[in-house]
Amino acid sequence: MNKKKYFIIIAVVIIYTIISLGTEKISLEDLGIITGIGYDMKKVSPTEKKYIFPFSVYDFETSGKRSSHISVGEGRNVGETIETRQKQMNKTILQGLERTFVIGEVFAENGLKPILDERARNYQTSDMAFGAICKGKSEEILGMNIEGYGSSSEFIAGLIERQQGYNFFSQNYKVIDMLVRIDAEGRNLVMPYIDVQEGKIEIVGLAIFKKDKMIATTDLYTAKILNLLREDNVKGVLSYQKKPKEYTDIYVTSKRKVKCEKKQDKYTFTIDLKLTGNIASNTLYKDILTNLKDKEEYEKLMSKKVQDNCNEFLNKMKNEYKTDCLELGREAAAKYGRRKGIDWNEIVCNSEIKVNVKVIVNEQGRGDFIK
Amino acid sequence: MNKAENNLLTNSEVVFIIFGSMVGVGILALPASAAATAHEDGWITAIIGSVYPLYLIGICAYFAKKFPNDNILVISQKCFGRILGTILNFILLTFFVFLCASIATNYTNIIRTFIQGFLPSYILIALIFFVCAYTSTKGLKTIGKVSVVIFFTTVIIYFSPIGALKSASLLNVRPVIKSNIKDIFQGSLKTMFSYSGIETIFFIYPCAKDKKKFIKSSLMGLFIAVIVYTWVIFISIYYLGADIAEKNYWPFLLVTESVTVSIVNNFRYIFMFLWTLTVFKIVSNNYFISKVIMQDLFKKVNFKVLCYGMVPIFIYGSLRLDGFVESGLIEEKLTNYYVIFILTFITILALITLIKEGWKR
Amino acid sequence: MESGNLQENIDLIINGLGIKSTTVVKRFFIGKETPLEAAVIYINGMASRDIIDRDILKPLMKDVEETITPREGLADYLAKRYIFMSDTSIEKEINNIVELIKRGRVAVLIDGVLECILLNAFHSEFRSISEPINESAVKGARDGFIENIETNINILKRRIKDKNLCTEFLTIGRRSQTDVAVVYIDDIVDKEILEEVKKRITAIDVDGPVDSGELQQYIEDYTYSFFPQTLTTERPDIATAQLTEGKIIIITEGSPFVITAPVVFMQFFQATEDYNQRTILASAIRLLRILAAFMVISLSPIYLTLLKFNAELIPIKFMTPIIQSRIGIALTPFLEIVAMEIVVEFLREGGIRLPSKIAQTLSLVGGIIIGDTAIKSRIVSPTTLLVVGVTVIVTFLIPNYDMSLSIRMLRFPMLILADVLGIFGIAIGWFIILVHLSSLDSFGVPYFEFHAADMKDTFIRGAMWKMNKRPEAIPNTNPTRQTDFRSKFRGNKK
Repeated sequence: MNKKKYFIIIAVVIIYTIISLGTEKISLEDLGIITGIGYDMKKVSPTEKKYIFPFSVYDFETSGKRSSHISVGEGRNVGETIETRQKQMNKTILQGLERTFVIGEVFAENGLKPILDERARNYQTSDMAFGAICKGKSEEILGMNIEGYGSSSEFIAGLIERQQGYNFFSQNYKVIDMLVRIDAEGRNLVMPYIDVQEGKIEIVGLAIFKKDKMIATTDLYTAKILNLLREDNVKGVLSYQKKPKEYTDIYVTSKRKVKCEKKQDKYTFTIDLKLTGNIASNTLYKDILTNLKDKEEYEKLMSKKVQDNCNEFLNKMKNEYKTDCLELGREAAAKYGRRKGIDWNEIVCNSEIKVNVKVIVNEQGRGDFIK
Repeated sequence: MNKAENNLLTNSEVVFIIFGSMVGVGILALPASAAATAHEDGWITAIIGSVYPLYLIGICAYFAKKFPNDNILVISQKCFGRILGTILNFILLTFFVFLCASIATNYTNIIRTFIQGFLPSYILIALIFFVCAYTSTKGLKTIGKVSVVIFFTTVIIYFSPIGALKSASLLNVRPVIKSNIKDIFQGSLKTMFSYSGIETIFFIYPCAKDKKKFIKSSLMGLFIAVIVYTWVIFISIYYLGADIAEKNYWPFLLVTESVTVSIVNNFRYIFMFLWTLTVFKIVSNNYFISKVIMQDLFKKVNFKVLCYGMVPIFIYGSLRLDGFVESGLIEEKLTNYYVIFILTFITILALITLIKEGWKR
Repeated sequence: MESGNLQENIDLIINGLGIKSTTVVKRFFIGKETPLEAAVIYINGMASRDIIDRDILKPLMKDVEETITPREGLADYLAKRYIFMSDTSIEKEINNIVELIKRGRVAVLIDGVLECILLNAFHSEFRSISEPINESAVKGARDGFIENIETNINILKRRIKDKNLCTEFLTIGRRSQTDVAVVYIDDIVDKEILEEVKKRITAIDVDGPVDSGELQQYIEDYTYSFFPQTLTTERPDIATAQLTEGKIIIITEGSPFVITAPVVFMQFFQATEDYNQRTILASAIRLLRILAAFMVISLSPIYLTLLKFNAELIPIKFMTPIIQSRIGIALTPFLEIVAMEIVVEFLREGGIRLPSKIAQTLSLVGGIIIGDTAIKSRIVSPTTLLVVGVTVIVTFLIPNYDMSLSIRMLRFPMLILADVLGIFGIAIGWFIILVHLSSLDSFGVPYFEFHAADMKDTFIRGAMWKMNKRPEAIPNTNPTRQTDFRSKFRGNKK
């Protein structure tokens, strides 16, 4: 019995030593924690492209202040960028805590597949980071110093996340959403488009993609309608203004239903939008909530206005963008079958799209001031 | 209280041993292969593929009536004679060794990719087998109890992506059953392989306490396994879409990461921990069965020595299978052969028993 | 006794008791006419001298008017006639007489008579019944067992007046001849387990005084396991609850801790107060306890793994303070945690033996000053100290002292596993613990088993009036303990 015990103890000690000798230990302070990643591209010559990936890395001080600096890696492929970046860093990179990734315009126009491949392979990266396309170079935006934030990536992450609830933005701008929408049948990617205006980072619209290449950017007004037609259960403000001093605004939540019909080879899509909400401010109708006629008039006028805006956008989409950025192809594929080799972008742009908008006022607020 | 009776398996232990012997590593990669063949109808293949284990359970019910106290090794020797029976039993043994080894390598792969990049795979594999050898020395009843406990603590990981139901839409799963029937059938073949492990049933029915309810319990275990598999494939396709599900190696993991828990940045940690426990359990199951077979073949060797002595064999087997690309191909081929072997083997046994009964009359 | 010769018998008895022991022999005469010599033998200090003088010597020496001659049945006659005591018996065997004198009886030997009268004048100084120090309850009885076996048995008898409550006496120890009482309720207990327990106790062959803790270790199956296979308690209410579930209580002379056998794992997480409080409250507290057990073993190892191997899993809001506090710390995370744990163990172990006056000062010193200065001198980081401190407090949620120490000790191997192998190590650790628990049995009863019928009292505590059956985990012969009495006053409502 004794011998067996000694044997076990010695075996355990040996195993322990073998195992611990093999492991590398990095202590926490030597990790460079990345807070934001940028993707840029520079066309050196018509055939050669250079990838520039700036990383925004946290600096920690004992005093409690948090700041960050940019480390840039350049190279002809992703692997090279990793090594050139490390030559200026005194810490090991730790991904997984990043809040945003910002993609430069040039890169986006060339196709997002390299990023997606890298993100999908790397086990450390966080799938919940928010993404945005920026005008110009991502390095500048990532390197901006914003008061009160350790790094601009924190600000941008909050910026994108908090857009939901206004302008009908949704939250589907994370890595996982990108992965799911590119290359899936009938689906399409849009990303927020940010820029620096008067020293502040702002969302200026949406970037529209065809497959994984960016083809157009919109302004905020178009983005609003695009979101309204594309997403379900989003919130925003609509206003009907008759004269500069007479207007009524309503804050709505949308419900979107799509129906798809096919006659021979022609497709018809019907988008039903039901917008319900409460009045945000009202200087136009005196008795909007007590007078049924006023309420109905307002609802009708508002619906018509939105419908006109939508149809305007649809024309633009069919003629200018030539992409199915409303993900209507998905509905058709679900109903009529997948994997038939159909190019949904073409079909949707050649099909008939009808929009039915209904605005309903169902909450009233505290009281009416204008009587 | 009969102490000997205490060592038999209760009904719930039977249910969870059966469940545990089938649902293991395959569950993470299953959606990928199902989506690749049957596309958005992949989840149906899980239901259809359960024909294979149902058939085996059926035959086992028949054996349970005829030979209530013998496990399959004894039966095969009775039917085929000692020498041929022993050879066939040995082939069965290699099947279980293969199963253990492939589970261990798959698991090591996954965990090294996601969490433990720093540990060399042979250490992980060696540790897995040592722990499972230790478990096997404690006997079947212990394995039963551990199966029950682990099932209840880990079942949440399979159902955790319920949150994904909200943000995805049914569009991904439609149109339903419009795909080629041939595709669905092919997908079912693949899913069928992930039910292997059901052969454990042939070894444990002598040890069950309540023989009448045994078949019912095993059907229950199978039923739970079918539900879990179907759900996993369904949610992966539902959330990711069939096109994306086939691109990722382990789509289910991608889905679980969409679940956000506030304290841990990533649900992955909790998932990996609980899932490691599941893997241990399933390897212990299979290890134990291999040991039972070994013991039958080498009747004279001491129980415990056998357990620990078999560890090097398993480690060798796993290391040969290591390497993601090669192992995938070898595994597919071998699994095909083995499943065919088992089907024929068991069917012939049943037929012979039937014929012998006919002769007696 | 062989002959009636007084001197011979006295010598035999004194030989049996030990020549140099404190035996008192008082010779006296019985009767007036032809005085019959007799002797009183007892051990000094074990019998009350007042009672001997007043109720034995006085009547026998003074009040015997008739002539007494040695004859058959004299001892019995005298006991019935002249001795004013209630607890008397007649004994013939020298060995039995010696044994009983050792236990405090008084023997009256009469010249020429083969029998002797044994009287119980036992009086000794014992600790009064007070609340047990280690197991106190807010809402429960305040009495506890003491060192005297008779009193302990009486405490149990007062609480369970069932005629089926049986007590069997055994003796163990060559030199100490310690009394051990095995108490059980006859029609509930499982006879096989009872036989097993008695077999093991009688098989013990050691020298010296056996305390209940030692007895525990002698009779248990798995010596090297971390987990105790018998439960000890100082509280009578816990002991009586065990009896009614079909368990066996072993009381040892000289120890206030009684042993319960057999036990199952979940029992160690049940406290008396659980049953004295309301259902929802008790269930919540019980869940808290189970969470506590899990935390004690896993919290530090998980913290270690996160810091060392998987830093990407810590949310950014925690990350910043942790990194900031860790800049400039001298030790690696593993050594930090181990060092802090060892310091805490020192404090705990040392604090047990402190005189109470120093205890308060020292706890102040230990807790606050050492902790604070350790942080300031950058040996440990505040987060580590927090984690270790929380673990310590949480340990004491587990009601049973043995179990809480076992669980504490489990932490160290778990830490080592986590240090070497990361989360895989923690998984290995938990799996081995599970397997080990599942394979343990306490006197043949499986240690770690969950029966569906017992779920009302395992992780939560269901309503008291619903617990109609005894727990299935312990084998018993009489499953029903309550009936549905609520319907008597609530009609059909539940």
